[in-house]
Amino acid sequence: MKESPLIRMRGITKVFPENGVTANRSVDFDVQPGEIHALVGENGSGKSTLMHVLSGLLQPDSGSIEIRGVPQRFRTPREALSAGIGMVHQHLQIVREFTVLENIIMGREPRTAWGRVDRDLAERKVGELMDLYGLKMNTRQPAFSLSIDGMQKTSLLSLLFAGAEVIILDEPMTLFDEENQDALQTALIRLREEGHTLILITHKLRESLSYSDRISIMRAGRCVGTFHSSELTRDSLSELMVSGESGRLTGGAAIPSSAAGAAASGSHPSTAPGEILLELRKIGYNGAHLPALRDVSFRLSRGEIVAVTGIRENGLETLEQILTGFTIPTSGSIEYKHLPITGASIQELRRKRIAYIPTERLVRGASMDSSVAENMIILNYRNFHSWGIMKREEIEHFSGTLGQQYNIKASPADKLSRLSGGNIQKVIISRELHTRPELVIFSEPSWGLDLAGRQFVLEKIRSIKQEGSAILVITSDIEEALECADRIVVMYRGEVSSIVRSEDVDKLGIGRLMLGVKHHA
Amino acid sequence: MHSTRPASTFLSIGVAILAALLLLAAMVPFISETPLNTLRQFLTGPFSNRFYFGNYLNRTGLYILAGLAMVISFQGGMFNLGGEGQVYGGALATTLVLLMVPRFGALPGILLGTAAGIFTGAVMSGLSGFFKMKWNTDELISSFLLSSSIVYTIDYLVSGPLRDTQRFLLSTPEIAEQFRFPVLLNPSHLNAGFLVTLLLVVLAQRFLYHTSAGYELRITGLNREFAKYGGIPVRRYYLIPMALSGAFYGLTGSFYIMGTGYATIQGCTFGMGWNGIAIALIARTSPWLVPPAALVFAFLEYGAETAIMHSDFSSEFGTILQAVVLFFVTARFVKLRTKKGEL
Amino acid sequence: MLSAIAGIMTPFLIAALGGLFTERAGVLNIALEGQMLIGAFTAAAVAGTTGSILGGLTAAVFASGLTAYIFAALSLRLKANIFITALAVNLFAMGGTQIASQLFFRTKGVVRFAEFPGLAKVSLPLLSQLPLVGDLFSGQSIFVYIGWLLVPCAAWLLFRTPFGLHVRAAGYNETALYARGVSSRSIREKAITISGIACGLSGAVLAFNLGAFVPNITSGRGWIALVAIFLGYKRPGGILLVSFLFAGAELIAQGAQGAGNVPSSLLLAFPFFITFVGMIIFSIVSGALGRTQRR
Repeated sequence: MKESPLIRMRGITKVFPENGVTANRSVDFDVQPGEIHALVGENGSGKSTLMHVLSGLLQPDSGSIEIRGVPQRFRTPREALSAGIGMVHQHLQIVREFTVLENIIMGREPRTAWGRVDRDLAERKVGELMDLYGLKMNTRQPAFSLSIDGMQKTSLLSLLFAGAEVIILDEPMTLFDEENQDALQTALIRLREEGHTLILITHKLRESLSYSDRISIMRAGRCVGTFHSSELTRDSLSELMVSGESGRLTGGAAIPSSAAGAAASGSHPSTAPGEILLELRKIGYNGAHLPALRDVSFRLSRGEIVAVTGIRENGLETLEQILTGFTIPTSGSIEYKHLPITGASIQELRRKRIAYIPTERLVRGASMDSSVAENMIILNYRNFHSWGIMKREEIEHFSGTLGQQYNIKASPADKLSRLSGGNIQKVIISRELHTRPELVIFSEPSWGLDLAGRQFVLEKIRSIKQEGSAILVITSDIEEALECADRIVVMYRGEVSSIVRSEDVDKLGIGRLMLGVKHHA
Repeated sequence: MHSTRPASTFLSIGVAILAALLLLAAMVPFISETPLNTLRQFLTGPFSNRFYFGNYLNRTGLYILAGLAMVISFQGGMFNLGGEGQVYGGALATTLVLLMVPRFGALPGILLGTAAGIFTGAVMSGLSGFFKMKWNTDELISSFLLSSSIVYTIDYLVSGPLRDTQRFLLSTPEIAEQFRFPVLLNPSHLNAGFLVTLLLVVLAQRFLYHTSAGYELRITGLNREFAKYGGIPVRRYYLIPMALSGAFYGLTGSFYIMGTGYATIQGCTFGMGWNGIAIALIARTSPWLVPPAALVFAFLEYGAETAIMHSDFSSEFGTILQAVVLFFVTARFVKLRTKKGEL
Repeated sequence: MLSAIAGIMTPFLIAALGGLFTERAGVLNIALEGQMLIGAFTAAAVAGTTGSILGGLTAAVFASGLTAYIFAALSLRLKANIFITALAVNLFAMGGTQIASQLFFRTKGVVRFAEFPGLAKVSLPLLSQLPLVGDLFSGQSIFVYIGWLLVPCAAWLLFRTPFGLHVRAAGYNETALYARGVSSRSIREKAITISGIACGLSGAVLAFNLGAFVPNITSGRGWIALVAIFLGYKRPGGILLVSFLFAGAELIAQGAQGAGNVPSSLLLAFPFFITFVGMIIFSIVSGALGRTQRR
């Protein structure tokens, strides 16, 4: 049955003047009414750009958009919203200082006769919405205390409140965490039941296959095909996504087809771990701004990779903040090489050769207005100075070399904000790993990286491990934990649910542990 | 390695000057009996003879220093709004110190005077920086408040206890001869301080972009959290940019005294603080671009002054003209490839 | 004494309440001084020549509001640096009022009028009988009461209306506003215009109190208003408190002048200095009251 498409994009081309990248090359893209359509591709393939064009955030250089057969031009998100199209970004859309309710109704506030915001009416309407779509939230909660998951829900609700019919979700799988896969499913089903059309932007193959009706694949700025999800397998899908991009892979070799994290590589020839480097003893946190922690203890030894995994709200962020000195725990202690470092500042940690790659990479880990080189030398800039004077050539040489090693597509003098997301990640990661740290705290490693990039980082982590460093990975992605770690610390509701060896469990097992079923290892 | 675009700056300045001149040409027939003469005086006045030209350059020099003061402040992520008081305070400090040692040799005296000015400015501004560091007090407001109090206080001092009753003006006594900078272009005030100023532009550039301290300062100013995360001791970079900025402002006052005024006259430094801010912003906080920006500013002031003296142009119009130029310099009529949030 | 304070604080209270909106919208508006000056001049000129307070008031509010609107629209649409353009506005106000003064009244100094309308003194019925604070409500010009009334009005506008929500959102995260189809630029224009209107009113008050126009009649009050906004934690209630304290400081300074023969320029320094000290103390105290997150 061939209905006429709800959305018809033809020949969309978009070139970014800042860096000359052609993000979309004459892309054709159709969406049928009422379907769930996955837009799949690696980072840099242009899927986000295409959706930014559709939702009015960007203007295409050429091409056309038709909604229900009527040609449209969306110059601002508002115009797209009037046509019923809305996109859920991440925290860009949220005002942290407002409550959830205020965020949802902003722009469409119900008013009383006096011109005041009618809060009661708003609460009621939003409550109805939440019930309808199964997206329960506390409307009075201040937005800054929301997890990323909560922020996305709030954004989604605000779109629904504004009457959006077509909803574009950007990487929803990462936010409705493992435990909430059911919640995600429910939400998608309800949305569809209410007549909405959904477009899911994702790089996760398995999920796109299971949730969507049709899948469109983007590769290097082009749309290479649209298929019913029943027609594809993971292998064929990943091949469509990556083949033909010789420059992006190290060595140009084909990626193993189950590259997206098969559990097989979970264990490595175990180097007997060496001395204990990091030890957490009964760390607890009870403060106002972050989820609580209780009685968290574990150890990390030389030559070992330990992953702390769980749903993000269950304490991962708190742990990260505490480990790196940005928050002080209310109880417990941390020791590094048997010396207490509880509450030590990040500067002190760095002096002890501890590297840290934060989750909030772009805010904390980079200076967008500085050049690539300036970002790269932040950890070791003193090496390039003698008598306080900088040696320009050495810095350029260093940045250039590091850039080559990590296949970063930029030159040292480029302003960081001009780089693509993946390259920015590489700048940050490369500079940290380069310092040959003894301990690396790495949060959400595959965030923002494409397939090739992830492989590369994984290899780098493993090679540092061989050299005797210890790596603490904090991740909400179970597959990632299984893939890279020797041991896994599973968090549940702020406590350590269990510590297991990665070879002893599989994904299902961890999933259960994350839900609180205790496992004695 | 930094994000300024000289081309767009020069373009803006060019457009601004053009707009100002057009406005001037349009205004002049209404406000002056002798429009052509007024125009001529305005445009060519600063260049018409050595006196005016020298003074024009001299004023430029002082504005360069003020501009550098704010460049450092902005690059460090701090907003020093206390320029007026810091310049005035530096001027008075220099004057007082030199008045106390009338028999000192030239060089030691000059060094002492300079040190006094720098010290005063640095302390005033540094105080705000210190409070910001310790107790997160907003430095913009604290520097402004402190500076305003100092300005009024000095006004009082200069018209009262410290006044030289021999002079017509409300002023302190003049400093001794040997402390006055050698004049470069007689009979104007253009003095050796101008050359030192140019040198300071180079030094400022080198400091910011070629030293590790400068790197730390800039990175902290751009993204404090990133700097902290990277291991830079960020706490001190509340204090340091403010103190350095104040030092430059104090130096401005010092150089004014030893090069131009020779005494602290009430209101002598008025406007230097504000103009420093405007110049630094126009120069997109790059030291290299400060001299051109300063030249433009000083030109407007001087053109107005010569026009006032030699025709019936009145100072209010000069003010209006300045306002127009300021506006045009920052407005973007041409769609250049600029990022949101930049100037 | 209290009654004098009420009189002194009104100009900067009103200006600060207007400036509050721009500050909350994310714009540091330093043109308050210039706007007030324009308001004062227009009020004096119109009231003096027509003999009508209302006329002068309307004209002042209109002139200052219009100036603010133009300043806002030009700066925001042309993406100018608002700090510089605000400086330009201040300069323009200084020069412009002088030119207009010369043009219409043939003087650059004090502009006096033959019959300047007087301001009635009003005492509020019940409140003026109150034991301690009764003075605040007796014998004041009506503008004092208007000023106080504006405090809850501003609070209502800022915290209870959609516009206020948008203003605050523009200050916190304008992208979020944009994503919901509200133009932060338009909100800021409105906010700046509000500050213009408020400054017009405030300047008019100055002119009416004096009964004439004097160059530099504002003498820094626009800046004080700005300080009041920040020290008042960007809330109407806080602004009221700070304005009150600041006016008290000025009164003390004036008293000192009368009593101890303190010269006037030192007098001018006093409020600034005392605010500076107060600010430091305030920071120390609020810093001491709790820190969970390391900064």
